[in-house]
Amino acid sequence: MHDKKSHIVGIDLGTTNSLIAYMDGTAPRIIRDASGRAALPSIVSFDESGDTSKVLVGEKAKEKLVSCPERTIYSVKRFMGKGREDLEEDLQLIPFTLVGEEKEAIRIAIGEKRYTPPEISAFVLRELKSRAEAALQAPVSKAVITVPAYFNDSQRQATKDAGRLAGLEVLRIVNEPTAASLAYGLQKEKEGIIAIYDLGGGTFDISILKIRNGIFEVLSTNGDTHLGGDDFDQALVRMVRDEVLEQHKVNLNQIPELLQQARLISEDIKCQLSTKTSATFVLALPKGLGAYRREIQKKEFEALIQGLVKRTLSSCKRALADAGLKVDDVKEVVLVGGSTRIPLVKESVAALFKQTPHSELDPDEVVAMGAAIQADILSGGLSDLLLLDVTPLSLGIETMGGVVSRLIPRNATIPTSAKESFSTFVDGQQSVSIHVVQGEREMVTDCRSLAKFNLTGIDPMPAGMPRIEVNFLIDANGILNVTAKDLRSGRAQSIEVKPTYGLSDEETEDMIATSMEHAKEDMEKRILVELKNEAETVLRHSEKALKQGTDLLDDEEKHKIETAIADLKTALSNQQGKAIREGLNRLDESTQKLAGDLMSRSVKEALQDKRLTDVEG
Amino acid sequence: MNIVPEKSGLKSGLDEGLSFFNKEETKRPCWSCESEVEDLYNCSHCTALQQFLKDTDYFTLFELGYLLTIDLDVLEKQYYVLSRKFHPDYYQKTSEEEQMISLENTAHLTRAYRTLKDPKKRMAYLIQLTGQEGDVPAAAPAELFEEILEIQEHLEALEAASSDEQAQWMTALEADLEAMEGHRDAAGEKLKALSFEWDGLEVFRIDHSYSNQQRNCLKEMQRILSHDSYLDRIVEEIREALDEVG
Repeated sequence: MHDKKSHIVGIDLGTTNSLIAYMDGTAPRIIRDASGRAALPSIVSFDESGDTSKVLVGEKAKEKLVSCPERTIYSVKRFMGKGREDLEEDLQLIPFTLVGEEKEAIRIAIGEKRYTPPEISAFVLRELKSRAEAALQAPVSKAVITVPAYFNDSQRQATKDAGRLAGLEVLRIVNEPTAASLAYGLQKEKEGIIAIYDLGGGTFDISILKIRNGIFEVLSTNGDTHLGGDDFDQALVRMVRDEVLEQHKVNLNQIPELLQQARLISEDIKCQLSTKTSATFVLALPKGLGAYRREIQKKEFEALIQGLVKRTLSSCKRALADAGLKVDDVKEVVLVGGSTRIPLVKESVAALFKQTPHSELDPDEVVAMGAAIQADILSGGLSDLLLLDVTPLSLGIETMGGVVSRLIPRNATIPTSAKESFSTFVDGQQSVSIHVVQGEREMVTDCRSLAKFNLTGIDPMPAGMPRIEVNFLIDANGILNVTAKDLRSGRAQSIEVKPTYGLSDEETEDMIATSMEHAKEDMEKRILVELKNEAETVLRHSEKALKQGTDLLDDEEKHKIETAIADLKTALSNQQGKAIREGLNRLDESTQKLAGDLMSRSVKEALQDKRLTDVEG
Repeated sequence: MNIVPEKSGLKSGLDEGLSFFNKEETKRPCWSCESEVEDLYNCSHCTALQQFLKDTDYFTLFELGYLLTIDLDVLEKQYYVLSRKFHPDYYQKTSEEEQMISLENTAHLTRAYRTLKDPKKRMAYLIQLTGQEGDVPAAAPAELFEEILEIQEHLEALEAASSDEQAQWMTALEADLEAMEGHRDAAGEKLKALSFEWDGLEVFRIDHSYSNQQRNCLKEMQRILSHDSYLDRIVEEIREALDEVG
């Protein structure tokens, strides 16, 4: 057997679809499924039992969107690292149930069980992992996963957690547009300033990069983690929902199946309108109410999404301003993400940058390819390339009066760090709490709360005497790490971290442990199901054989087989795996002679038949 | 303000091929193999990446003199060279300790580059480094107090204005914006002149023994820099207010 090189894979964990790629020599290659599909729909469907061994992922889950809307989870990426208060607007258009307290990670309710978004994403990642393992004929345990450039710390952390839950060591979190630039730059060996406009299913990013001597330096990035193709669909859904309510007095919000259907039709209409000037929306209403039918003009659709497209252009302008550049400085614009197929999007980008944007590389596949390239860089392959990315949002801490003191500005190249000294307010105070926020606003309440830290074990001293230096370090994944040192004693200070929207390390460990337990449980369940199927088949055959060969058996043999059949039936009804296996073996043993006799008789008969035919013929 | 990239007559250390590190001062034992390290970044014995010398200032890190006019192209090249030495991408397979050093060195490097790349941040850093003055807070130039008060009134008026009145206040603020940008550009020019002045004063060491002339130059830089930050902020404020209605 040839040497099994361990591959580091690149994964594009998308809102609508996910892809996995690896480096095949010097070229990134997308791993496809048996039917040649590159994209795995990021959809996870549970059946009524909620049993994790019966979870469907991808195309099969997609088929359940309309029939089981309450238990089929899509676009979970939009909920990563988020709390209930972030999602109020979405809640009414989502057919499944989201639960959670304020300032806490949101959870998805499936029957009695509660799943965090990373746990749902982990199902998708596991599916990709096994797809890659089957294709590469080797275990896959390390990955580079991409995220939207504008993802904040909690969202990145959640993505990393999802990887860990799926049994993957996440070597690097890479920004999607930056990954795309790697794939694009590698292909063309470009130099100069390029803009990557990435409009996906659920998120939008714009990144401005400078490529020089193999160094890909991101100058600035901007975006919206809640703006993408999904929103275009929803704009259509809202219009249809209002019209159905007015014309047919049917409230789609109360019928999840219909709402889901409307969403899927909207998606289809959107795609049709990329090549046609009009498309027909037909939605069958509940019995006796007929159907909603409506011709939608391209212009009408464009009017619906114009505001959203305009928002992406404002982000582009802000990114340019942050990079200290003008439109004319941008040498090339690259389109990434499925939503850039919409003509209005293409035209708007072309008008803003005064040039025809590039879309030679498949906008759906280019991010995963870039992730594979970064994976190769990390494994020491492509050492000429180096990616210097930035942190999208400023990092600060809360000071007196709820004002943010900024420590690291947005668009700072990462890894980067900042130091800040803290002291106590009252005599003998032994701990200090620090609130870390991310965002561009002046007040803490307008920024994103990332985490609260408690510095503990400070020696009791008069107020203001202790000097604790806290080092905030943003690593190459764009994730914050905090360390603290007592400057007087030189001792490392212990820190207790409470991520606001994420999972603590302990929670993640617990989940991994439970999923391992479940994995064992799931495996056992699967084996039992297979055994039962086998037993039923064997029973059927044995009973048939007994009837056919009854003349070939003496009483003792007959009795032995009948007992074995009865025993296996008992084991089967008791659902005991071990007893089923044993019963199967015994039945098998007892019927061996009969099977042989039957076989030779049928052969004999066949031969006789043949001879007869020969004679006749 | 744009001090660079025009090339001044003054050269950076890189162009001259000078090293601003004193060989004797950089000698220390390698954290990994404990043999004496002479090379700046890697142990000559076991090649392990070394941590920066404590208190290596940004100018020294980039092997530049204490100069305020820097050729940005040279700075960028040096940044790329150092990035290729330190970046965590290249230390994925090394020990955890070495990975940590790579991460910290890179974090320090990017911070240094961010500071030196921007002429104003570079100047503020120099002021801090020389210990002459503390922070450089934004402060309104005294001679502009009246103008600034008026702008605040205009801003408030625009916010409270009905849609018919908006146009009037927008026109006023557009004029304010132009005036403030003018003041800011003037401050920028002054800073540019001060940078040249400083570079002509030939400061080679940061040891807190400066001539009166050098001290005065630092003081003046700090004063103008505070004004400049303030003007930057108010320009931004007016722009945002105009964007919001427009």
